[in-house]
Amino acid sequence: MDLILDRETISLWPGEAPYTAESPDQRQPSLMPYPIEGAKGAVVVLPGGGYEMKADHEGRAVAEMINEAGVAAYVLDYRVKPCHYEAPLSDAKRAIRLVRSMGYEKVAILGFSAGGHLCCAAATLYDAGDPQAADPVERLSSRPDGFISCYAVVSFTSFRHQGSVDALLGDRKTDYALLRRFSAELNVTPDTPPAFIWHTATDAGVPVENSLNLAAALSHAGVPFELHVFPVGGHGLGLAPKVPQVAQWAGLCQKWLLSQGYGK
Amino acid sequence: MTEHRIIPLWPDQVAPYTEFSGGQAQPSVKEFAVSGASGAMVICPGGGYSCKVDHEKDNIAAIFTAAGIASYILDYRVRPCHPETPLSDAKRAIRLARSLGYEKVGIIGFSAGGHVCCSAATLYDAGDPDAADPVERLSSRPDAFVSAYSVVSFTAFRHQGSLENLLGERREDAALLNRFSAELNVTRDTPPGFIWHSRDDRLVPVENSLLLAMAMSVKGVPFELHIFPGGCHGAGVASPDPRAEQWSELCVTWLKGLGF
Repeated sequence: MDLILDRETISLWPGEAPYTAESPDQRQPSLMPYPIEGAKGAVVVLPGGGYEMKADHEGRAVAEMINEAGVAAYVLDYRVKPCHYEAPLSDAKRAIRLVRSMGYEKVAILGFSAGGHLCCAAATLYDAGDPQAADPVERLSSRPDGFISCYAVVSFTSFRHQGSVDALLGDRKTDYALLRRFSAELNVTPDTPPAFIWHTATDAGVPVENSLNLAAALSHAGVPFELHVFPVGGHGLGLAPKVPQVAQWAGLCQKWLLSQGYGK
Repeated sequence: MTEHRIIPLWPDQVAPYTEFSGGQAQPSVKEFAVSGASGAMVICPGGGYSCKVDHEKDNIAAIFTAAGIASYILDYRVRPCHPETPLSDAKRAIRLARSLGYEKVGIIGFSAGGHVCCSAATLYDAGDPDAADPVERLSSRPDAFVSAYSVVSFTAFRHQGSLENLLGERREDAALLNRFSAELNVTRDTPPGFIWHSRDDRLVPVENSLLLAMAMSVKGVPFELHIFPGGCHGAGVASPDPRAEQWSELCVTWLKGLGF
């Protein structure tokens, strides 16, 4: 029996999601759960797709890789173009709060490419939650305990991936304040959670400098991080089943998660 | 117990810069031959240009031996010496290994030995076709380099001790500081690099490796980079953070991919 048939998505919000009016023709955002009995930690997984779609090979297979390490995973169906530029981040923050509300000690976020942009935004633009909120989920912090940035569009200011900028910001694509808000390397502080970062040096879609600049910012702020740049492979490989050198990232990532206390 | 040959770099000759080297022994390599190996690595232990530490010698050679790659531990000269001396020793070691018939000759260095390594990877020459000594006719350009928690730069995020030991009274000579900052000297012709560092290195900031990677990326030179969260400085093979030990397996995979 394919267990996937038994999975039911979890709606992020009991009612209508924020920014619904500005995000026409979108499904309500939801999580596909890949729980693990006894896991202390969970990872919210954000597939990439240039803020225009969500790539299939960066979802379920990645959740199963995380499960292999004894860590729970939740694949987020976040909103993309056409949407308000705050909608994807609001979805990611809510996903972290919701997974936290399930009782995990540690909640990390992982994203690929534009999903990596969302991941880095969530890792730098979090809030502590609203203690006055009627919804108990909203009282919880959206700060991830760690983040995993996979060939991410880190920056909207330097070495940027214009397609992601255009899709997320739309008419406001030249708004300087927004470009800076969505450039994670500019928003790292000593309170930014620990990171695992990887990229390929031959990425023609999203230059490796995105990850190098993020690493430099984390180093400057004294935030623990691990970084792996592989010499081959290009962009968008996911688990990289056909490129063994790059496929090493998954094992390194599993070890990192276990070292951070996400396992059983 | 295998006997390892000690090969003087300049047999029957006076090594260059000997008059500035305070009576240090003729530089040499200790050979770890591997039957049938097509590739060899010159190993530069660290030690801040004041010594060569033992934990970056034979145990590093053992990693390469196990991978079927020959290695040559370089006993390069350190303080007191002319600033060009360690580089001249490294270049000669690469030529010498090449003269032994290997198809691929790489160089690996740790900390200040990584500075020697990065200098050799950027300040090579094609050899002198008119030299009387056949070894000198060979190129000193390594086919690959492995930079381990290296002192890459003498200009940004620098390790002052290495700088002072290498440059001595010329420690403020801007031309020399630039010459010995590998990130400033990367070109399209720089050989592929494998770079690793620990994020919590308090002696040689991880920025040394990040700057080198950025320079390689700008020039389109292939590189692999691993920054581990722990391990501090000088991890060699026995790290306080076992995850940093993964570098050696990753490195061997990379070298094999390059035909070593």
